[in-house]
Amino acid sequence: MHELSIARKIVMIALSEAKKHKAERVLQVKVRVGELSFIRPEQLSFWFKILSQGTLLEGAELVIDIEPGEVRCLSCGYKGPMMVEDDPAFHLAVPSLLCPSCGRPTKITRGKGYSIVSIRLFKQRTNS
Amino acid sequence: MKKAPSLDGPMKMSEVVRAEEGEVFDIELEESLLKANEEIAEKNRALLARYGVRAIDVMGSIGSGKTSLIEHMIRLLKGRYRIAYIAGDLTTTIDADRIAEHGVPVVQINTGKECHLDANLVAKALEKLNLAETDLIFIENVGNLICPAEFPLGADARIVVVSVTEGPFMVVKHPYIFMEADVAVINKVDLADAMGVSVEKLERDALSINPSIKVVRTNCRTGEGVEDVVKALGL
Repeated sequence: MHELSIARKIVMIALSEAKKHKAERVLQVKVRVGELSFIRPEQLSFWFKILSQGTLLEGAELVIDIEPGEVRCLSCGYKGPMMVEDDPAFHLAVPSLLCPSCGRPTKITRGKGYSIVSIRLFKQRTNS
Repeated sequence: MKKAPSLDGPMKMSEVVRAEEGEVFDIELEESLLKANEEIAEKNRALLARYGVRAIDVMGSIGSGKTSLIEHMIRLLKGRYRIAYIAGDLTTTIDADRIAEHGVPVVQINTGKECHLDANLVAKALEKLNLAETDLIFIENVGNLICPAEFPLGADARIVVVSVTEGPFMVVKHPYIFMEADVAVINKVDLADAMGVSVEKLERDALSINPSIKVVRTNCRTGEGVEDVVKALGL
């Protein structure tokens, strides 16, 4: 949904880290995207590439780790993937907070956010 | 896949030279990209709690009846609570002007081009209200069933409003906002037959996505069902 603004944030953070560490180039940026977040990896990579051009990030690899979604059942203690009702009539899988094990309400415990995990920098060695 | 050269084995000259020229290192950050909004939402929540103010985030599709619902709730609750209203829209003060006629303090947020309210915009709007003189705030989000779900504002409860005139698939197409909401309002039920839309099906869809959600049917032209929304919010 907001891949452009998130990509911009990632690029800004990476550039500011590169500057802080006096690096010449950013080689790689690793992010973690929750499966239940509104960010699509393909669009994020697209905007990252566009925004990197002409900066220290040009050519940097964007590694996207997908954090699987996880729910926890408040009644039976089930912990695992969210139930998805696959209805071919909609060409769409509808996720549900119903417990796949006992059918009672669950809560999302993982996979909603997105974070920047690490940045790989390249720096000239100064022999001073 | 090529095997990485062993550290014990003979090193190639070029690799040694490259290692001397520069170094590659990783910076661990672990920084949430939603952190800014989450932190401000927490601040809003704490500020509202300090003044004992309850805030309701009213989300929903365009033209589903969010403003009409709020008008009816204000009519029902004006005697018991000191109410204020924050309106989020891309442009115009149409909604804010409508609510102002009910004699409650109103703050309009014009997002310009943004498709949702965020915690920072709400924090600014809260500055314009006299919280010491307020018990209850309705925050009307931008008409949209997607983005608002991911941006908590610091409200106590979230309502999502849909109506039968949007067709039969509004709920299943937007499951995530129903997961985030406490109350789902299905509005314009008086038009269900004319639209050929089953209110029961919409209700079932909402409950199968979020079994904890409270579903209320309304006709916000007449006010039918709005008392049940008020009850579902515990007001």
